[in-house]
Amino acid sequence: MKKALTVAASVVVVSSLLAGCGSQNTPAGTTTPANSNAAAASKAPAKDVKLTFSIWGSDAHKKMYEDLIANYKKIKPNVSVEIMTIPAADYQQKISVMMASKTAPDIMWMLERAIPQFLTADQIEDISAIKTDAAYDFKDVIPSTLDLVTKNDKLYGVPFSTPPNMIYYNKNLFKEKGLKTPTELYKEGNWTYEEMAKAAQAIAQPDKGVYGFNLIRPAGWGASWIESLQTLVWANGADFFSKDGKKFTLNSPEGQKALQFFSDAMFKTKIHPKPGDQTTFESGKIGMQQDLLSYMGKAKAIKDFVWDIAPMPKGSGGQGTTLGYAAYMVTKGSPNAAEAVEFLKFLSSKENMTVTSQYFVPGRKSVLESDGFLKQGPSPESMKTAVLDQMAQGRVRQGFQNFQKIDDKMKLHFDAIYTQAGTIPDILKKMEQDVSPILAQ
Amino acid sequence: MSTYPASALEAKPTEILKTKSSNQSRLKRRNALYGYLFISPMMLGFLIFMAGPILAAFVLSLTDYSLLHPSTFVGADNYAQVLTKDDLFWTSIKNTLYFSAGLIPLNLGLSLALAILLSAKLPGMGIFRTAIFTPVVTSIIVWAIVWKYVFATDAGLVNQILGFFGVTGPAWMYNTHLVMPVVILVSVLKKVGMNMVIFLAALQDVPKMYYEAATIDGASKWKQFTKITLPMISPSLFLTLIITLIGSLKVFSQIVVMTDGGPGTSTNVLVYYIYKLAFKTFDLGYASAVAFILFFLVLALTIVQWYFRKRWVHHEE
Repeated sequence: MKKALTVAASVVVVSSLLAGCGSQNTPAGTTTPANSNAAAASKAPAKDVKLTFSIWGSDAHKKMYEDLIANYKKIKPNVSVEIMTIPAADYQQKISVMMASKTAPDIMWMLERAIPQFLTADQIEDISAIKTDAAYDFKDVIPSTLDLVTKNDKLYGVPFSTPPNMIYYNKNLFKEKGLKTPTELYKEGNWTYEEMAKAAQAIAQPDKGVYGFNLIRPAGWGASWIESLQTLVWANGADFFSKDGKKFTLNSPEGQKALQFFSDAMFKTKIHPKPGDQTTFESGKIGMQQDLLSYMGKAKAIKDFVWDIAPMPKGSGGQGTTLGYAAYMVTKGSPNAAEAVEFLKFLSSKENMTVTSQYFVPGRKSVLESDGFLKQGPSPESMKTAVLDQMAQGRVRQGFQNFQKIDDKMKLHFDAIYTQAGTIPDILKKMEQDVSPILAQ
Repeated sequence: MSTYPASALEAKPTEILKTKSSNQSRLKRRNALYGYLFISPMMLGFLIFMAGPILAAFVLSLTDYSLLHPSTFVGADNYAQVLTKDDLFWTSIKNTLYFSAGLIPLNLGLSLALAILLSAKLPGMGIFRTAIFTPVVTSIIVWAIVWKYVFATDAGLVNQILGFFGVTGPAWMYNTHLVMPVVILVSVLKKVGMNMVIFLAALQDVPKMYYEAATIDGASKWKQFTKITLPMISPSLFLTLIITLIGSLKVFSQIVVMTDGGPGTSTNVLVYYIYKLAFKTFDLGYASAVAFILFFLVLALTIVQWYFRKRWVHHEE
């Protein structure tokens, strides 16, 4: 009898130890069950809901959203939203894994190239209902920006940022050398890659770490091929892939020319920073920097020199202006999907898109054409020339269902350019051999 | 505290007087039961978080499981493809072996040299020992990020120092020949303290009388080192060799932080390749197959090392 007791006692001890370990691991970020006592006491029918919202933005973006969330809390006291920041480079990968393990955020920023993967995998909530919501005024959203988030006439997201890329230039450096600025050249119709290289040549002092132009966006060496070089490729009349995305097309004379220009700027004339160089525009050591409107916040903090913005230069294939693209999307199957859609409507309302337009080129016509938006830039004229006028001809980059695999191979071969592992034609040949089978899948 | 373990373990004299043998086996059984109970938390943890996933990974390695589409059973196809068609796999093996070949001699040599230097009883030795051991307890991620900045192209410490002497430093992380040596160097500096401490302990265990006798016999310092020190610390040498080798085959964090397997495929080591397959391109089935190949590789190496141990290790209790 005594023996049985001792065994039972020790089983209890061990199992309670185990239970103690286990109970600490309640998953974070999921719905907190409504406290039944509190709900009964206040007779509030609304359940407490905790939404997670993922972004890849900066601290400034996060701060802006936190203010919006505080406002939302006033309208909907039962809903709290937690912002989750995931670095852009890991974003698609991380969300994919979270989707698979059912721990994805309720509402997300989504990048154009990631959208096909999640739509094909049926992981995004259908939000077509907002189209008919009168208060939301869906007609105000620019229709061409909706192509990527529409599938079989159903709406899966609302774009909040469709920025054309542009050139930020350091006016002081141009003045010192007595050069015509990109804006002046653009107005004359002479703003080309040749002129850009010429100006860069005059500005660059590679031994002092001063460079003429930088196409690579901050911390963008890893994702350079699609993030930073798409415009150059388009401007040369080339493209990475065929329109249907089934063929590799960069291995052409035009493609060679584009990459040769880039390679020469880095290694031959040294007017472009070397691979891995993280010199920023803010440091005043870059004459011209390719970036998006979202960089404006950082640029506005610059005190040491005067800067302005201009459109991208022209090549034989036009300006090749690339539209960045980011949309709000709601995870399908999230227990809070309905609340997440409400929050999405709040974020993309006219009022709040005006708030976010300080960093993001808005997808709503009324906000885009407002004076408030034009005042976000260094001057309303340059905002008009560099942003508004470029939107019509800007193109959104291609999306792929298996983008990660394509990206992996493309990076590999762009590294060959950076390490000068071969001539551009050779590298392009290898790139075609390696990437074509994946595209054909 | 309750007294149940004590009273339970005490065999009562009256019981012993009864049939002795059956009682002994009962005592044994009871003791065994307590033993199992006490290891059960650890065993359960191991079964749920280690053995289970390992088994699951083996099953996955026989399918084409991916996060992007439903999976089907493909048998040994993954293994066949890895071994016969996957060039990148062999590149990864080559890179991993390059890393090991660079790391092991450097690490063991440097840590032994440091241990010998620092075993001298001089004032301030404690500070040096602590300084060299500190990186071991630093997070590898922090360590790698700091070194990534040290070797940065533009504002990196190394290139700035080179610039001071009028030399334009190379783009360390964008040079296929330089990047692996840099990663090896960073890894050696991180880990050298651990092996140093093991060697320090071993060196202090060598009885002084051997050296005294050798000095009387007129043996040189070098002779003393090769004939006394090395044989006496050979078990530690063997231990560190195995740990360092297996550790080097599993190199991952510094690669992720510093190079992302690049430039090109020059630092695409085996574990990083597995990670990329599983979590970047989502081919989890295929990645599991590569992981199992790594498992067998480590197993084979360990068996070989244990076999050679008899010849190497002269003194072991």
